[in-house]
Amino acid sequence: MTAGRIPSIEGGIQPTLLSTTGDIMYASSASNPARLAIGSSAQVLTVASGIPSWATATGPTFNAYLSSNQTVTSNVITKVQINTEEYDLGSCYDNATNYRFTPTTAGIYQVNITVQANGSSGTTIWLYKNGASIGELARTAGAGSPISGSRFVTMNGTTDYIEFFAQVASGTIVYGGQGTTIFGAAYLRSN
Amino acid sequence: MAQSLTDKIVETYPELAEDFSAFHPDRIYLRNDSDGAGDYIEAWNYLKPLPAGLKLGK
Repeated sequence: MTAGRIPSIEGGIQPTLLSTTGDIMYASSASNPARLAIGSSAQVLTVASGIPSWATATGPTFNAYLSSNQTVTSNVITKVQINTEEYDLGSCYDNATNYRFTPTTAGIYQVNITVQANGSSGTTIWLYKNGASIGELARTAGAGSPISGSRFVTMNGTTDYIEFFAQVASGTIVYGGQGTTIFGAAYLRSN
Repeated sequence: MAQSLTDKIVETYPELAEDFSAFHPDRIYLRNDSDGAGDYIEAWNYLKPLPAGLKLGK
């Protein structure tokens, strides 16, 4: 027997099955041992198609903002064209055409939105999923001050998408600029 | 300058000028998808009819 190796017996585990520090042994079928090579830094062990594998620890996450003022019509619920990404882990946010987040990992996401506008009679944040409103996140009574809203949203990881709409009452500008009007979402966990 | 969709509605129904709660998805639902199609009326659930010259949808 060679030191540091698993003893071989007929029909058992080959002594050379594991070759690298951090390798893991598992059963690829009821009586067949197999090697799972060590994963990359920060990966987690998961199960896919009935066998263990390494996966990235977190799902899609992004944060983006409106780069310049967007003109809207008073009282019209308008999709905000959040066009500048601070980060987009997983490349699931469309910042050029549809301004929507379509995550490729199923699970629960926390969505955060901040908006600042000139509606003297108030501004409302609306969150849309798959083209329809799923609720009013926040509303302010007057102009000037930013408002923020947050919600947990379940996404199917394939077709589900979310968008951010704003409604400005007695006003026509959603203010742009980093730290002003912001849209972000982060993967929390599977569901 | 062209009259906005909201202005056209308020011109017909002046009582809506200060009734911001009327502009809600459950009542008078005005929407813009930022897709170039502009403002449109997604739903009209008001006690009075749609103003003349306006239609539902894009």
